[in-house]
Amino acid sequence: MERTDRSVCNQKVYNQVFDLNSETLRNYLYYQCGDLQQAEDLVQEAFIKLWNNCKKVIFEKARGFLFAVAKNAFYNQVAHKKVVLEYAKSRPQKNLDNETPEYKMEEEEFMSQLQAAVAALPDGQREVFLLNRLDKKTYKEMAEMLGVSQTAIEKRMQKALQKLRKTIKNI
Amino acid sequence: MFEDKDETILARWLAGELTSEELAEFEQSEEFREYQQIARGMESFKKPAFHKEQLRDKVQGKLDHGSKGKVRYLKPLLYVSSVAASLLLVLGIFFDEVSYTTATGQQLSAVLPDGSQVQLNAQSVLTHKRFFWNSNKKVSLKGEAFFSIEKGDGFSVQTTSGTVSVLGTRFNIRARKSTFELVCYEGKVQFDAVSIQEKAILIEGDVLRLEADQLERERTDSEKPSWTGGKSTFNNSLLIHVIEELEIQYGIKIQHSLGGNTDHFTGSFVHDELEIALKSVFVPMGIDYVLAPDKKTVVLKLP
Repeated sequence: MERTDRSVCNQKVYNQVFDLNSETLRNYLYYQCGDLQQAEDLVQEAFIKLWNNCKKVIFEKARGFLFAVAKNAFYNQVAHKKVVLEYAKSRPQKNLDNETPEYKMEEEEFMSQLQAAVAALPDGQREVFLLNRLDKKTYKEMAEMLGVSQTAIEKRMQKALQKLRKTIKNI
Repeated sequence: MFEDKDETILARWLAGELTSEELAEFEQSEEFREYQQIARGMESFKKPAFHKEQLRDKVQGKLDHGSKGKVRYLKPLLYVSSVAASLLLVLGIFFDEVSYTTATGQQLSAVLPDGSQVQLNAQSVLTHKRFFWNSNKKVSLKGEAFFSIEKGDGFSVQTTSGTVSVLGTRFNIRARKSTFELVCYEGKVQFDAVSIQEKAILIEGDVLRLEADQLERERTDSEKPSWTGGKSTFNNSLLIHVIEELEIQYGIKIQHSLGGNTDHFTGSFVHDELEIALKSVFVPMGIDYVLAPDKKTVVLKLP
């Protein structure tokens, strides 16, 4: 029976839900709180809740359920660290002629400015911006995950870009 | 500024969704280079490392597998229909009734489950429970019926006027709209009148009539009611009761203005010949009548 196959209570289906969502969920939480350990703890909590409620949550709704639970759990925790992303120290350059020491210096400086600017973004903008840029989630996917409209996601993306530019200019 | 055109235009640029005109315009603007630098810079960032299997093991270790059991899907339609079916069955056993009905001018003989015989006169309804009737032998009657009851406990007949309780006997009950008359031909019966809360016990040959909330007693020496032999006999009955019986036996409508009339009639009429029946009632009473050509309406002309 198809229904039985789709039950989240089925260990196979549950594992599939884990494969599909665990990393995105972890990163989403990390982009919010800046603490990998905290993010992973929240992911565990969310998946345990999903298992305990597996009879009430159908497969199609599992992702929304996970994100909602994780989000609520996160709001209950006060601790909040700065999001510090790592970046490759030397970016691959197509035009090797440009790689003068001055250029490299500028490049390094810009990256640390960008890193600081990302950390300074409001949580809502940062999570969406990074899920799109780093995790390659489309606006549509994010809208479904977070339970908001695609336009809302696009507005947050635009705001994030504008904020980054302004912050970098002011440094 | 280009980005002020609308609230999502930069998001669409990042997603590569701008039209070529929009893109050309954006590339001309002074902010373009800075946005491009940001977008390129973002490509250097790395996602934090993720160890999926480690995390999965941690989650699995905390899952409560014991009490899960197997998932069973409810079949609400099946449950509802089976409950409904059992209810129907139970209701059927307790409330299902047998009923005997006679139409105008018709008679019917029935044997009750305990072997008692009932003869129903015209326009009468007798009902009793289909199941468990022998433990509580109640029947209800509208109209007229002659009972020959087998010996046994607790047979009773409910009518709108009251209840007749019996022990092995033969009796006739006439429970029409305006009349109640009980005749006991054999044995003993008891009548409990509803309206006046009075009891009466009848023995062989007793006639009991309820008229204007008064119990009237009479005697008869007949063996069984005359209607079982195809005619209705009256002994000093109110004329309006006789008219009612005529209407019932022949399915006719008798128009009269005898509302408070207290004339009494003694005699009988047959059930199979309307004109003779009318004659035998109204001629002795000195009442002129006209039978309409359709033989369905009789108009009385009172002197």
